[in-house]
Amino acid sequence: MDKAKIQSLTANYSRMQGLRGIPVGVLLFFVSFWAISNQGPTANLTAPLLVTGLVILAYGVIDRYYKNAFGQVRRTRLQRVREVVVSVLFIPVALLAFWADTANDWPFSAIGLVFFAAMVMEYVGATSTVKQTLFTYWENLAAGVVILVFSLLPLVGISWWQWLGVRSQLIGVLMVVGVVIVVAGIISHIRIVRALPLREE
Amino acid sequence: MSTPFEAIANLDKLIHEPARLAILTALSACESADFIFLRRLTGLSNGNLSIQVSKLEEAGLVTVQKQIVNRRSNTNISITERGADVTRRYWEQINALKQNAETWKNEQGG
Repeated sequence: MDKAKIQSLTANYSRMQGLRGIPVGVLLFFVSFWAISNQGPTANLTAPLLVTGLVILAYGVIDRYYKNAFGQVRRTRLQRVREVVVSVLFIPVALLAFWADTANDWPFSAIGLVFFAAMVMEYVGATSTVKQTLFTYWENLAAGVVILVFSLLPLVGISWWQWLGVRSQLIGVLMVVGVVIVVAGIISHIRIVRALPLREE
Repeated sequence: MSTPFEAIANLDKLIHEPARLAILTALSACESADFIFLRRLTGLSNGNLSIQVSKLEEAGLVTVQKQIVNRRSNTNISITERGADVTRRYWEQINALKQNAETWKNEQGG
């Protein structure tokens, strides 16, 4: 009986529902891809609006899947308050960073740094519940490091987004964030499936 | 100091059962969890989990709330203050037991 494992699993249950991140990551990637293909003020918004609708639908389906298959855990009041505070802070900071990236030609990505910080906070939040090794819930830390690297490569003169045929660093970083969120989400989901296996009655 | 065997014998029998201990340990890390989650966590069947939860509820260590959500029965279980206290003390006893066992083993020259 591993007390730390049980408590960590319970306290981080909502974080481990990694499939929730897939629609978000797909949306980020798609919107970035769409932005590459469409230029100018007369761009048709049908595709991004349609994908956004599908993403919202997918999120609802995934939410229902986790509730029916794995159950629900209501976190402690402190955990809920912490999450709300972080979310409320993240949105304006992310918007500010997005605006800063579009308004300036910096040799780094501000929005990338914000996502890096968010991933690190997720990792710290997950590993603070009980004592864990560095590599517990490593996928969030790894995701953050990947985003950080891509955000800072321009500082050493590497315009990596051009290799992908992408015209701007901002779009490139958002595509990377989208992919990273999907991969980290899949890893988290595999973790939860292994931690809470279905046993035949 | 009692021997480890005596310490084990003094553990609360209601808590010192793997399924019930897992339930209480999980509930001590959250505000509540539903039946499905606890079933996945413990690997128990529906019937067996119900029995274990009932025992904990009778002892005043958990509370059980049943609701109908979207025409489905939903059972939420929360640990009581007494349950949290008992669980915390149990784990303290286990940790002390581990340390005493090492001391006892060294005293026995093993």
